[in-house]
Amino acid sequence: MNNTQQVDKPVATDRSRRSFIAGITAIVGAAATSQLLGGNGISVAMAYTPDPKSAKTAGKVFSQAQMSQLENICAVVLPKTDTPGAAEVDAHGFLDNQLFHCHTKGQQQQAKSILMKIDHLASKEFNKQFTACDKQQQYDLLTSLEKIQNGFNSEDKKNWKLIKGLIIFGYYTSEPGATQELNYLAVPGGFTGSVPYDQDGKGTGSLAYY
Amino acid sequence: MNDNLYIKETKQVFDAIVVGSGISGGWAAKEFCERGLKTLMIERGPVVEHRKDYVGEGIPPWDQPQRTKVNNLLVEQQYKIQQECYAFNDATKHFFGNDTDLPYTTAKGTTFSWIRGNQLGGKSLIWHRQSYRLSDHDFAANSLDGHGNDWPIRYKDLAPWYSHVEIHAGISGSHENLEQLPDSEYLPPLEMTLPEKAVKASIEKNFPGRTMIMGRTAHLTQPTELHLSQGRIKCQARNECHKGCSFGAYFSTQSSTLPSAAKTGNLHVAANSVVQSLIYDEKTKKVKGVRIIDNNDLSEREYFGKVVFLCASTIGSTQIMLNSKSKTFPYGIANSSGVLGHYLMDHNYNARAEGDIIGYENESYRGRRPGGILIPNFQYKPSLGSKDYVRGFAYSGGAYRENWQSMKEIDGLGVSLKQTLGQAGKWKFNLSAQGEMLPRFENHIALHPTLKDKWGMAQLEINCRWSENEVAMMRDAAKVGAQMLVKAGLVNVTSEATNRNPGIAIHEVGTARMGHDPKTSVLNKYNQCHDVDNLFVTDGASFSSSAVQNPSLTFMALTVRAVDYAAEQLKHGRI
Repeated sequence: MNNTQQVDKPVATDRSRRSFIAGITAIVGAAATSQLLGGNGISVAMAYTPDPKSAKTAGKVFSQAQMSQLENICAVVLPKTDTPGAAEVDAHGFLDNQLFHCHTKGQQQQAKSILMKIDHLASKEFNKQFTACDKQQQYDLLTSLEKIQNGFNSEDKKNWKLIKGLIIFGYYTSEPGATQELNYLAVPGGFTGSVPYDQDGKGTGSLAYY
Repeated sequence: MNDNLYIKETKQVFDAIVVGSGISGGWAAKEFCERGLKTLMIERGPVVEHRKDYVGEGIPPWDQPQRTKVNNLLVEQQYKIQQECYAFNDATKHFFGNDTDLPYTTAKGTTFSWIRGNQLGGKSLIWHRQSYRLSDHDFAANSLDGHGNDWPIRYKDLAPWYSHVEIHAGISGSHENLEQLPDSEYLPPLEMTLPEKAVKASIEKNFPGRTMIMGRTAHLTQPTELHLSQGRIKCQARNECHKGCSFGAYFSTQSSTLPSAAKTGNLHVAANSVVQSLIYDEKTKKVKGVRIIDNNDLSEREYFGKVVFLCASTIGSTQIMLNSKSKTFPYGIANSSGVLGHYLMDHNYNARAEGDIIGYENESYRGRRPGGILIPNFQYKPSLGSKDYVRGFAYSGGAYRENWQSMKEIDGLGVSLKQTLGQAGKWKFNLSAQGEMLPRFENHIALHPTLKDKWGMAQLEINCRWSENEVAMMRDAAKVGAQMLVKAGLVNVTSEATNRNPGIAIHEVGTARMGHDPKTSVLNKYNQCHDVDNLFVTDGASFSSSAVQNPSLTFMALTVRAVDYAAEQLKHGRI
């Protein structure tokens, strides 16, 4: 069993897991220290590591120009506020990697076609590529897409939801998204059925799994 | 602790051989070992060490290769069936069987999703931990409406053994005094949320005879000294159980029964040992051992014992029996009745209802509760049943606040979208039905006439379908679920009956049923083969009916009761 068919390089670091086991050992006082990845052949594929330059090179699915376009889209969908936004956590690079490994060729094609459509309508509407549009123009264009207006059709919206869903997934499962924008609770310590909802305290708590 | 716990070649004749290491096998081994009997536990898959081999546990999503999603190509090639299980993901996939290595066929026009957990601990590592006793209404159901054969036991036969396993395993729940769902020996229940309490109050007021309780789970909500001595601590409410739990907070072979068995020094474990068949001695009319094909190098070996317990999973145990042919038993060992392989059942998970709860914006919960609520079967005897079908169903479910994940599809962009997704959304409540499936002779498994797997074992052909009774029940369950939610004041209530495959509840039972009559059943009231005195089957294969309750707790109770009986028989030289 291996899932490295499409994976670039194997790696053997999993610092978080090591510290997790150390924590467990402290709690239950048991000998649980060995460092493993053996026995039953779990994936040794490397987690996608955010790369600040991913919009400047071609991805596994997308061209360099499309990567740049995606980075712009990420910034519109989930912008930087007092926490990083989707572009800052490289949700575009993640999306490219995820589409390549976990989605079908058909879905990869869906993603590419909606990027082309967005660019096409940007040229028609503003006479320039999406990346050359200003923030307001980009926002308006994607709003038209969500409303199925100005040349966008329902098929486009379906393709868009695939990309947008992956941007959201990529953002909230990134370390900054999960730990700064949300309240990451790896080990809640127990379940309490009733607590006041605290907006400032990001009361939702991030799941540690998805 | 035994220095040589894991063995491969041995000439030793064990007192007891236990085939399988899951929920049933773990209990069988523990009980034999604690009675001083030399025991061999045989597992077809690799060893999984508690804590050390929970390789998916505790890794935050950003450190996982595809943030918990499984590589598409891998799913296509190796996990096409297993991925249908809700618990299958990148951090649990190594606890699921590889479909390429474990082929089976389904009869024309039928489907069956066979979910596998072939490793030490079996599916005890990945179960959903719901733990319920059967009641006398369940044991009598077959005899009352004529479907299937009568169970040869009643509640009083099993009650003390339920208590025995519950105290050791740790079952959380609330005392309810329900005649269709007897109380267990409890740790405190998981907590309900406020909206759940409101729905409960509405159902109990508006629908007399129905109740909503907290689901009973094998989680240590408040560990006892006994649990602490097993090296287990309180449940931390991570709800990542299927990756394995280093806290030992839920019951598994690794957390609970295996350490107790190993501590006696009487246990040996033969892992990577695929049982091909049982060795039947025509002279003594007993099973004297098992034939093994090595999981890895496909070499052959044999193990010998005085008594054999099959705990290899419902379908796995019966497959071994069907494949154990001899002069006396040309159609599978202990199959003089001809019913071996027949009366396959699962639970029917084919109706759901959900809706939005108004209000409670300033109310939330903390932690991730590893279980939900239960509406126990309220049609538990014929006089309470529907006109359109026999037997009944329960609902599981619960309330939760929406999060970014369930809101991924909403429209919106920019700062406002980020604000929405970063906060808890509205409250939702869902119900999923779990229906009883009738025992029917037609639903069966058989050895495929020609196809073999990589170990040379005849593949199974599964022939199983829902009957009109099950379909009618789910239509009703969808309707009734929606009615209760509407009455409780929920809005946007939707419900539907679905058409998921049998098997996907992973509650498969039957195929070597218990019964009074050797002509119509395989096992007697002690899970002992009518035809072969020293062969016992104590997993789900032994069930005469599926009942509505999740079956694992009953696997445990049947197993320990059968061990108690078998050990007595051994002691007195009767088997």
